Amino acid sequence: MYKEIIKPTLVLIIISVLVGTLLAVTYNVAGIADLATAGLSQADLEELKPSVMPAASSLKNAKVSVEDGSLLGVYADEGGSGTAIHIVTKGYGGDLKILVGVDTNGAVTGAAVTESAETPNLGSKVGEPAFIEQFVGKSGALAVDKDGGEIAAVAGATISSRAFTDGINKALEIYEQVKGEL
Amino acid sequence: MNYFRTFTKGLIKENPVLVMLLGTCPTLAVTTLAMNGLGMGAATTFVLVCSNVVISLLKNFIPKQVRLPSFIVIIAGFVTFVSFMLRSNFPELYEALGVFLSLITVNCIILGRAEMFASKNNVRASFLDGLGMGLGFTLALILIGAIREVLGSGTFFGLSIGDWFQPIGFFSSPAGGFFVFGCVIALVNVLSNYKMSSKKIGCASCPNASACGQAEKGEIAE
Repeated sequence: MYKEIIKPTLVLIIISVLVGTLLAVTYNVAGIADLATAGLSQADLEELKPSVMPAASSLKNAKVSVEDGSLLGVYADEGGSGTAIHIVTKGYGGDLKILVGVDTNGAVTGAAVTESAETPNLGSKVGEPAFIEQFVGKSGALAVDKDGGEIAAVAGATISSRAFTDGINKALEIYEQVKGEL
Repeated sequence: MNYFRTFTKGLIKENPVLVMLLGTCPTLAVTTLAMNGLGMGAATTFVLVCSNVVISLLKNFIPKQVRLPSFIVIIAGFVTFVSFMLRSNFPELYEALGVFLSLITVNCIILGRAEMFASKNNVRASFLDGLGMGLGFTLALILIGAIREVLGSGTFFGLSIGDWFQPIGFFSSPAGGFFVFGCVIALVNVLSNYKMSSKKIGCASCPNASACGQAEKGEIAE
């Protein structure tokens, strides 16, 4: 009994716990958590700018006092045309990260998906211009057509479309809170 | 035990990729560029050496019923460690290797050496075996990667070989990978085992004979 069942079980538990502990230490020492939540680099912003805020001259990281679990970062345009808000929302496949451009009137100027785990060729289509264009110039609370709103969801990907729309709404909401500080 | 032989056998004679045909999936997937082959080879070598040493140290502590899960936990631990290190220090290589980095865990070269060698030999021999096998894997990946990069992209380790050469896109595709893989295997067979046809064919002439219980029994398949 001991030799056949208990000892092998104990040995495997000891090895697993030991390996797990060492990895937890490495995770913290290597700073993986910081890498995962690090903001967008200047090169990323340059690449995203045409689709997020075509009128902007240069987006720069801005410090704001708003604390929100879904807010990843705020980037203000040096030319003063608006603010880009980086937001994370719950998609169909996992976290869906969106950079949303908002002009000084609180209307959407554009958006881009920066990280997604949506189903390829289905949910991932929320990142395409055909879907995103629907948001340009809009403000206030938006909803997909299935929920009585004006946004036409991507066929077969209502959850991803809804998640994206939620992200835009959240970004507009956060913009209203931070606009006084910018 | 001849330690020098333990080290060198992985390079050509028992090369894990080109003779034993293990780890074919990462071999074909990452070798579109020589640099990726080098990165993948180095990461695998590190995991292989570390897991061989640890498993050799623990071989009397691990009961045989849970030997495979224990080996996999140890190997997965080292693979995760390597992916943390690459992610924080070499993010470009981390992106290039992608999912194949975590798949080192199930690379049969590593589990194969743990099961066939490290769990039966002392620490020094296991270290040399891991190093030799790892280097053999790395050299094979660099060789295949270099051939595919030169022919498929017209560069060598990222340096252009000149405008006179028109790259042949086929060699960057998966089919081109299989083609180059086959040619290199044929070449290694010509170089290393050419005289095998004159020997009696059977378990004793198999590259895995030294680690295989059946071959030691002297059973020879006709």
